[in-house]
Amino acid sequence: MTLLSQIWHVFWFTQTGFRALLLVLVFRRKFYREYPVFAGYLGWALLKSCVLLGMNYAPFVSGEQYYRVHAASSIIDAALRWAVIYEIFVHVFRDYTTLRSLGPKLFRWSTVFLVLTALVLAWLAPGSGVGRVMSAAYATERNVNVLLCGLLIVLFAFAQYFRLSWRSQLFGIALGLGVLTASGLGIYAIRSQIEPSQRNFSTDILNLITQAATLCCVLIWTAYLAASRQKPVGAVVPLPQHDLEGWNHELERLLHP
Amino acid sequence: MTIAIILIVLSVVALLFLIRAARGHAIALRFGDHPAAHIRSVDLEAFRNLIDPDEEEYLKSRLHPAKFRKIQRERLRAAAEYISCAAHNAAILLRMAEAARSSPDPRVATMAEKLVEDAIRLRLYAFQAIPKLYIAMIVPVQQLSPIRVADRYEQITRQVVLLGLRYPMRGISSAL
Repeated sequence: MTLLSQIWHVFWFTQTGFRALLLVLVFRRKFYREYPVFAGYLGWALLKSCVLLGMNYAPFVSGEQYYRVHAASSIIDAALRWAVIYEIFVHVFRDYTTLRSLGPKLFRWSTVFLVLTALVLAWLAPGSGVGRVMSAAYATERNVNVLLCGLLIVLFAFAQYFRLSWRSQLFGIALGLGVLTASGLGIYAIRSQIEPSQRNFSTDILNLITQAATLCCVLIWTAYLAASRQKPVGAVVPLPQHDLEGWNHELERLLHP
Repeated sequence: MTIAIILIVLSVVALLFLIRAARGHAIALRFGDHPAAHIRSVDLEAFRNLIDPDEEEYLKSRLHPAKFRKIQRERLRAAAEYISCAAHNAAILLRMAEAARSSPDPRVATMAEKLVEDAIRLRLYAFQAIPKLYIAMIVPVQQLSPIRVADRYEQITRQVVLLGLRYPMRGISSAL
């Protein structure tokens, strides 16, 4: 086993451990009540990670069986991430009457536009590595990441323009997913084009970056959820003393503008 | 391969954007600077005059078409500048009102809630109006009247003054 492969395994075990810790945190602090889809996704991701870890070390599991399970679980993974992003959209906009109906609409139309973009990409740039099957799988992953990353960028840009306040944990969830999908987009864009038929140094490096990005995402979630508070983020201003002079001044301004 | 390179660049840009958003979030948590210092002056009367359709008709009837187009472009540019200043101020008020929303005094919380909604609405109008004004500078269109921005700005100015009576607005109400 090469050094890169060893580090990759360490990252895999670490992120699985942190996922378990995160799930405990979500249940102990009752975040699952507010973010049920995210809690479900975390549970699913932990199960997937454990199953794949077991399959990776089980002598009776072939490489083909492993990749089949990996591909099938990636489809569920993508669907759940998309649902988590929808949950984030709903939470970000629900505190604002003016924008409440705009949030789901924005999500819907952005999804339509990004799905069309992903389809065009699939047509223009299908997987072209030597390893045909894996290249095609990575091209699909790349297109899924175009959709997810695009949705998150739309959300962040929109929230930034309207200066919407985020609950800390919600911001952390979105940021972690953003890091995961943005790095996934770049990595799978490379892999869909250069995937060789046999494992080599470049695939080891890319595997390591993928695992590092996942670990980074899990650490972001853990940090934000562990240090979160329930109130939205904004300026913390102390309550005033009774400042009669100030009151008079403002009343004067109001009555005689 | 070109598409792959574009996607890699896009993913790096997306990561940088996220890092910037995370830094912005951390700054919002502190919000230690003096917000009134960032308020930009908006002369509502001058703005109303700029977007007044009667004024536009008057200029159109009095001036040579070429001269009118030139002046109208300048008026539209100035209007876009005013709207952008109003939207900028609304963003600062949003931050202040967000904090006041969690006040234990229900009257303050209600007033702040209203201010937040109106400031968002103003930014929404600005979002729609500014591109239209810039397009109108290139392609003359029928009268554009972003009067809703002026009305909303006037309304939030009043709300800030009223909220300032019950909550420290850190000099914002006098800076508007």
